[in-house]
Amino acid sequence: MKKKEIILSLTPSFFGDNVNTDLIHAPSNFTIDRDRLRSDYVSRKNKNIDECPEKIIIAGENFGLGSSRFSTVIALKNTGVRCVIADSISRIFERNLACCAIFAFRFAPGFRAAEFFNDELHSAIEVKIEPRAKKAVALIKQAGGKTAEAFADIYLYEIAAAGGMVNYIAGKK
Amino acid sequence: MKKYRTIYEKIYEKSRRPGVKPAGDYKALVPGLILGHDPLVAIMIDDFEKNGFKINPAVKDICFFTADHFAPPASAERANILKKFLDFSFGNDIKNLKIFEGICHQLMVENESLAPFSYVIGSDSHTCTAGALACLASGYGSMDIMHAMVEGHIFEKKFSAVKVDFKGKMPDYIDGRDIALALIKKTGEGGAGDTALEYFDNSGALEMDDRLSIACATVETGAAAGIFAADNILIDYILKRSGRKKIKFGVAEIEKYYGDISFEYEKTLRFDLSRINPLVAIPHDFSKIYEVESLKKDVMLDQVFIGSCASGRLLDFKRMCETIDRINSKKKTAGGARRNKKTRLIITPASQKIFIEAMKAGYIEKLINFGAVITNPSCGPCGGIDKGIIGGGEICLTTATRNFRGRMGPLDSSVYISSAVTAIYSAYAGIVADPREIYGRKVN
Repeated sequence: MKKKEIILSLTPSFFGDNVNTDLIHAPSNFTIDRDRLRSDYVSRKNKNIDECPEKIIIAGENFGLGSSRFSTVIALKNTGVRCVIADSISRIFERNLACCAIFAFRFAPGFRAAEFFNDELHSAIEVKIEPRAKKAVALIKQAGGKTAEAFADIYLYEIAAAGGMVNYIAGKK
Repeated sequence: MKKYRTIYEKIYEKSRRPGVKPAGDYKALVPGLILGHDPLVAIMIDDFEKNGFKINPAVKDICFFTADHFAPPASAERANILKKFLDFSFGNDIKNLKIFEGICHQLMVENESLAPFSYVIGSDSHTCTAGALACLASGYGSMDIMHAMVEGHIFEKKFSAVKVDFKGKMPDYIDGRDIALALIKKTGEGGAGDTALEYFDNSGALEMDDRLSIACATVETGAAAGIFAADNILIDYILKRSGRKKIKFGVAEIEKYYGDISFEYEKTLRFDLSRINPLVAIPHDFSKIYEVESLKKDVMLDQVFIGSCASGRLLDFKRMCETIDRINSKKKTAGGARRNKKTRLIITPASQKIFIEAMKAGYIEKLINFGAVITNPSCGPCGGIDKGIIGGGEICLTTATRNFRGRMGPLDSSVYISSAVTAIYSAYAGIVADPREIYGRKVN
């Protein structure tokens, strides 16, 4: 697979710690009709974000703990989420994000998203993604010029960059 | 001979598929069993079929599929999801297909196709339940499972193993769900991320049903898997499961498998089971787990639900009935104790096998006389599915897997989690109540 740099300009939505799968998409709303899947939680957390077509979720610790339901990440995708960067991400959820073509990055240990992003929450941020040997690096630049780095395992990056797991499998054939 | 450090490391390495190039730190692993269930297989079928994917012949016979979530379906949409799953399963000639027989994780461990030391993957986060049978078992999303079905392997990285030492014998009023809550309390919710847990029952105090309950909760710690070390209790379980037929699983097989493991760990978590008190996780996640007696005010209960893959096993039924006997003995209620009139009580056996055994033992009749509704084995209200959804503002105490906001009803409903013993006594009291009130209090 050709490894090239990706640059995204995204509207941030800040989620805090311990946001679980049931909050992102209520289990009682499960459906396999993908067009009906939406995450109300993104709208509830950040007013006026619905009209922004491409979003990034900045989350704290433990993002996405809980269910393996793939509907949850489809709901995020349909709500316009292109990328997630968090202090830590639940293992199953992190893989699900990649399988749904949503880039998922973790900040370096010790970094706290809440401390970095609290003053420029609503400004669009630029995310430059560079694939390297075993990791992909996301270089994050806020409107005010502050920068940070986050990292993804290269396997998960390649799935997301392929457009999700279906394309990843098809591309191997 | 290569010396493995841990049980986890050995199963991981033994599962590696030769000749497949790693994807960064992720190695290709060949599963011994692929678990799938109705909604989370159904959600990937369109992608699977539109792209002309086929089930890899190498893994076709290890697919273990169950219809357990929409079981039976409660709406036309869910009936269509079930139909899609069944059409796919029959169309692909899935041999191990269980329809409405129980919860996938329980059916999997009851089935002889699941052997100790296996590498198990499944489309449900609680696939880790199979860790009770000394397996490396992890949940994945539907697309990762689709990858395994098509390619015959799944890519996974190796995590560091953490030892969990259980010693001592727990009191009668403590069960595996209490110990699971104690475990999550100690690691913190999701606090064991990027690890695999290895459980050691040093005193031989934990029966298999307790181990299944503990292993099930592994995912809430954040760990990728939780593996109980094989021992005589597992040997007895495997022998009983096979109908005492001559099978090759005994002390010699365990010693042989573990012969090249050094059991060295960088970190150990220790639990004295004799000192665990009844615990409750309060809404809306596992960040607040307290001893029941420390709750500062009465929590009035609209409903108690005992079931899910975290509970609803025969030992839970036995303990619930012993609790009712103690209530009757202590309270001397005319005609026998019944649940609080304002607290609905729903009990769901984890499988039909358990249901039948509970009937034979007289547990079902006793629980019905206590005021319980017994439902057919299925996931039920766990995950907001059916047969016990709660209303707005209502409060449910459950033994089920999670207490997240919106888990069993509207966003303004609340779910508390406890053991089956605490739950059945609380159904009687109408509030979250400490079962030691009838078991005799023990001060730690």
